[in-house]
Amino acid sequence: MKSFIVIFLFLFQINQSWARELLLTDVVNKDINITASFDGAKIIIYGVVDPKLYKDSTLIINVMGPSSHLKIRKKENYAGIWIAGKDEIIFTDAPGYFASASNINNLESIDNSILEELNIGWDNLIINTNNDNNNLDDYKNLLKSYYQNRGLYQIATNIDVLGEVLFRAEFILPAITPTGVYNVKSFLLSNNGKLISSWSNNVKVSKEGLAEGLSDYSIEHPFLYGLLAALGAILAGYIGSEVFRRI
Amino acid sequence: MEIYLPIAGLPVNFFILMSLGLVVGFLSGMFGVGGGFLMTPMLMLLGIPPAVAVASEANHILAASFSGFLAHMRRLNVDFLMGLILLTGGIVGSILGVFLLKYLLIIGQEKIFISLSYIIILTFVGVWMLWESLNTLKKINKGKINKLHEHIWLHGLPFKIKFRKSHLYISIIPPIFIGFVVGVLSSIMGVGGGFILVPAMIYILGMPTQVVIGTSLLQIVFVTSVSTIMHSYINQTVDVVLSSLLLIGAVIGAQIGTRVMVKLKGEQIRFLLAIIIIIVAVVLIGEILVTPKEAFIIEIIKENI
Repeated sequence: MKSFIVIFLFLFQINQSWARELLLTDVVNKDINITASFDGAKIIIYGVVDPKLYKDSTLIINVMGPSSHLKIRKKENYAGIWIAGKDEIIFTDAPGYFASASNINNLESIDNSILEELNIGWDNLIINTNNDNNNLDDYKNLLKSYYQNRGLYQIATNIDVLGEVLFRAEFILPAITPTGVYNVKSFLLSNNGKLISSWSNNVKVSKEGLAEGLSDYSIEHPFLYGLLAALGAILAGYIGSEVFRRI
Repeated sequence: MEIYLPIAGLPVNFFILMSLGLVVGFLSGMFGVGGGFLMTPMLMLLGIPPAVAVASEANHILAASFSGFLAHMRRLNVDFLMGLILLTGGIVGSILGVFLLKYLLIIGQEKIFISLSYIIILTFVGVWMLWESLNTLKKINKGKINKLHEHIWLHGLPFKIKFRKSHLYISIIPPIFIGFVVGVLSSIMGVGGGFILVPAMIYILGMPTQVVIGTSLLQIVFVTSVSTIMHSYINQTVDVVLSSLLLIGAVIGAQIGTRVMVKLKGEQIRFLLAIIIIIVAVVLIGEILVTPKEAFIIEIIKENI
C-alpha cells in the first residue's frame, strides 16, 4: 500500500504528462546485476491506467528475455537405446525467458485475433527458424516445457490493481536466467477487442564484478585465460602437495 | 552457500562442490585415475552445460593429478621413460581424436558415440579387472607366489628397451600404441584417460601397480594441461570459479588417497577400482535405456542476437 502511494506521488511529480497518457509504466530496477552471490532476481513493474477506461478493458504484460539461436533435437528409441534422432529444428530468435501477466484470470474472454496480432502469449509468439519443418508447434511446445522445468517460462503471474488506477506486477527471474536486454511490454485492450494503448520498458540483466571480469577475459583473451587456468591448477596442486608434506 | 559460476551461468552450492572435489580427488590419488569419468556426469546433474562441465573438469583434474603426481614422485613411484613413450603416442592420438570428434559432431551423433564407448570400455575393463584381482587375492590366500609379471608375445616385438623403474625389458611398440588409443579416447570423451591407461599398463605392459599410478598421473597432467588451454582457446568453456571450488577439495583428497594407497596391496587397489568402474558402467547403461524425462536435446548455438 505504502509503495503504491510513493510510486503514485513519484509519477505525479516527475512526469506531468501522465494524465494525458492512457497507460504508463515503469520498472523499479532497469539494471539487474549478476554478482558472485546471484540467486535469481525480480522484475518489478508498476504503472497507471486511465480510470475511466479501466472498467471496460484488460491489462496484459508480456516479458521476453534476450533471443538466442537454439537447436532442438528429439531423442528416439532405437532397439531400446535412446539416441538423438535425425529430426531437428533451429530457432533463430527464441526468447531466453518468457513471462506473461494479466489482471483477469484467463484471457479466453478476449478476442484471439487481437492477441494474435500483438503476439501476446506463448501460442501467439512467432519464433523464426532457418529450415522448413512441419512440426514447428511441436518443437515450440518442447521449448516451453524445457523453460517451464527451469523457471524460464511463467504465466501464472497476476497484476495487482489499486483503485482502478495504479497497478503493479512482479516477474521472477531464476538464477540461470540469460544475460541481455529483457523487454517488458504492457497492453491495455478494450473488451471489444481493440488495442487502446501500449507501453514498453527495457530491463538489462548483466554480469558484474568478478563474474563480468572473468567471462569478458575468457572471450577477449581465450589463449591467455586457458594458460593461466592451467598454471593456476598446477600451482594449486603444488601448494596442496607441499602443505600435506609438512603435516 | 550459493556461488555464481560466471561461464556456466548459474549458481551452485559451495559445499556440494567441495565434497565432490574431495571424493574425486581421493580416488585420483588412490587409483591414478583423473576422476573425470565420475565428475563430468555429476556436474551435468547439477545443471552445468556439458561443454562447460567437460572443459572445467579438465582444469580441475590437472590440479588434482599434479598434486597426486608430486606425492608419488617423492615416493619414487614414477617411471619417467615409460611416461615419455606413452605421451608420444598420446599426442598423436589426441590430435586424431579431435578430428574424429569433429566428424561425429557433423553427423550429430557424438552423444551416443561417447556413451557407447564409455559403456563398452568400462564394462570390459571393469569385469576383467574384477575377475583378475579376485583370482590373485585367492591365490595369495592359498599361499601361491605370483610371478613378477606375465610375458606375452607383444613384449617380444622389436625396439626393446629397459624400463628400470618398472622392472621390464620390453618393446616400445605396445606402450606407444596404448598411448595412442588413450589419446584418441580422451579427446573424444573429454577425460584424462586414466581409467583406461591404468588397466592397460597393468595387464598389457605388466608394470607393477604402485608404479602404474604415478606414471598414469604424469600422463594425465600433460593431457589435461593441453586440453584446458585448447578448450579455453577454441570454445571459451573453462569456468575457473567452478574448477577452483572443485580443486580445494581435490588437492586435499588426492593427498589422503595417496597415503591410503601406499598401505594397500596392488590386487586390493585393482579390486576396488574395478568395483567403481563397474558401478559407473551400470549407471551409464541405465541412462541410455531408461526413458528420459525430457526426450529432446536443446543446444544454445548463439546467445544475445
